[in-house]
Amino acid sequence: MASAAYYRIGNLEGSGLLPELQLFIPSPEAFKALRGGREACCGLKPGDSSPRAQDSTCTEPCVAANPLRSQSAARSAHWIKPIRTGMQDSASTEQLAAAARSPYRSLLSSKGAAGASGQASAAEGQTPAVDAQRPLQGDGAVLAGELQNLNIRTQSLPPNSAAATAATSHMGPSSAPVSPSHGDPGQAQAPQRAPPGRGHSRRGSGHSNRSISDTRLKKFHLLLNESSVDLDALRELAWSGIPSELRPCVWQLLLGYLPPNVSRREQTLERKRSEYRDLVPQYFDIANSERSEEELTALNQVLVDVPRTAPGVAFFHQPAIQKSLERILYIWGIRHPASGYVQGINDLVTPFLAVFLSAHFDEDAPMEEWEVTDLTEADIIAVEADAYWSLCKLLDSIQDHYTYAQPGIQRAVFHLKELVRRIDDKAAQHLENEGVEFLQFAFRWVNCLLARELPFQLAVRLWDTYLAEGPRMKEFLIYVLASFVLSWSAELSRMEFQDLMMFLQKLPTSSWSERDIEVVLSRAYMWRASFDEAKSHLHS
Amino acid sequence: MYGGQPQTIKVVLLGEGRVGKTSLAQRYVRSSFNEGQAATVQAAFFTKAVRVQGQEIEVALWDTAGQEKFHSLGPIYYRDAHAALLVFDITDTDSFKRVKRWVDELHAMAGERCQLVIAANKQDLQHRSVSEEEAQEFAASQGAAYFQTSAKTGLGLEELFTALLSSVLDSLKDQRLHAAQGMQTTGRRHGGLVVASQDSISERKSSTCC
Repeated sequence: MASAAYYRIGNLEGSGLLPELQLFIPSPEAFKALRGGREACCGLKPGDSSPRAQDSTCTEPCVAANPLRSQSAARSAHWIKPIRTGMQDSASTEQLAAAARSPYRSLLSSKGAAGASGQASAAEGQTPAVDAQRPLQGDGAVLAGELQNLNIRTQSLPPNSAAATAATSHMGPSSAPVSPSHGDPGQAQAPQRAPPGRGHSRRGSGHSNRSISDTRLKKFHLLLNESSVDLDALRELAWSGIPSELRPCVWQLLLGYLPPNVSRREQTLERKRSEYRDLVPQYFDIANSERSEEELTALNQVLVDVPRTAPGVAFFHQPAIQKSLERILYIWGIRHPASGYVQGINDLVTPFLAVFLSAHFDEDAPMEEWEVTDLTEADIIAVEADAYWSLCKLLDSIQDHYTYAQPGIQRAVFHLKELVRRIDDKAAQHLENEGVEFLQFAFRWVNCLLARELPFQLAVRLWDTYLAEGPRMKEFLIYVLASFVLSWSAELSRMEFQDLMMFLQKLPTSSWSERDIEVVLSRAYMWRASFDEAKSHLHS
Repeated sequence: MYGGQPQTIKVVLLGEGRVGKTSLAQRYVRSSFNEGQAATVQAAFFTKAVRVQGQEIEVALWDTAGQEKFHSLGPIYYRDAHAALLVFDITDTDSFKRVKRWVDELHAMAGERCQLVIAANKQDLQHRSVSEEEAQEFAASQGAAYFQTSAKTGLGLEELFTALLSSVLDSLKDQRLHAAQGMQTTGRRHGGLVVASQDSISERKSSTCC
């Protein structure tokens, strides 16, 4: 029941909810306490001078080297304001796409190039909006603005700053003498003249996609070939996407299902798969007369949901896969009685099944061409077991999303609303004025971790980042959701209630590519970096 | 009331999982039917502009998830609703029992103006297990309108919504009349009662209550 740390959502008062059904949301104080401290995702601390931190070829958004993060303690949450007021200019698609690959570096490169011309102010150096696919107002501009601000800031770091060393080591050999100033709002508004000849190198923009993925592939192999995989390094690398042929292994490592130590893997897999094989006769292959009423209800729910799982992906509708889904979902529900099976969990298991099955099919064969009949029963049950345990691992961190009244989801949606208000007050205000409740559209987003809102392959790409986030996924999700919804900030501001609801329920992502989802992710990454340690962002 | 914004009528769809709530909404709003409709999580929103009694109407349909799990948030969908469309599957007796429970809950929780309509869905299927008489009797005993529908074929849906919207409009007019005359409505409104079978639609006007 309500404790001092929880309060009721104001705008739901008088909604007619039964007292026991009322929504309890942590107060900002409680939320702050819940968030607590956390570690850098790559395990590096700012100023780390280890070889990895110095690795000048690293293209990942390494937290330790990220000046946004390393300096964020000195910053208040208010710094975002000047960025937003100074975001009239937009970033080009290329810049955003490059930013997606390396959130802070690519813009540095392009800005560095502008700076190298020796005459442009930061704003003038910005490529005008040329995106043919979608207007980059608002959201794109925020990203561009932040990157622009970041550029200024990087150039303003003190010469001895450890963060500057780390950051520049990512940018290339040039060392940038700079001074700290990110706390000053004026800095962001007044574009700084970039010194001529500053060699922020063109390495970011000079790379083709192909060569980047080759480099990345090599790095993955290097990590995976170790006798004991460095999980922190793997997280860092996997965050920006995993090559599809390595995905089954990397996902299982990131989930903690597969041990990092090579010598223990086979044995572990054997044991877990055999354990799962025992669960099937114990829970699933029994007569209905042996099931309790709750179990029957649960089974019926699973049986009606499985045929309507991933309706757009024919592969999941092959009988053997349907059966696998039934077993996984029912057994998961029975073994997690605090929540039981909840509609939407079926959407969460499909990426695991598809990715683990992909190891059994030709690398280049699209999913539509997969035939389950090409697999042996042993293959299927092994994949099924891996998917089951992976689902367990994934849901362990978000169990309260599915317990009674789904408090985890309510909390997440509440935080989302607060975050959106902080980032784009105009958009939040508009939604409120139109009477749109975040719960009405974002509940499903959280319930299905956005899987329903994206084409299947992009959901798989999104899973790379979720799993790389590991224990921080739950918190990062809020930033992803904010970044996702604000992708359409401009469109939303032109709509009224009915259109808003229709639009938010079926967002135009069907033509999205990985690049689009990566823009969403890198923006989420930056927002977290900027808000994270300024924990006051949940206070008004 | 004339020439201004179209009147918005809010209708909430309730019922057991997989009885066809989303499919009914899809059929009514988009005239389409999808055999492999994904299970609704929490709720979905549909809207349709129609003309009833010469008046522009914006129908706002809240299609809720069937799984009990999601019902703690139900009230944010059915509060303020002008009408609740309770759906059951004629081949599934449990789904009919669920409708009975929904009626009780709505009587207790929803606004007094909320009109109840029961849809006996999946009429295209042969093996029915809920008897027509029992369902009709129950609807009548609860002052709910009753329709036989099929989201697959579209059977009964136009009639259902036309009757539902007319009835809501009538009751709104009544309310305005009362307001205009400065009359205080006393006693509980049961909402306009609409009783109709597949072939005939007969209306008992709301003037019989209050």
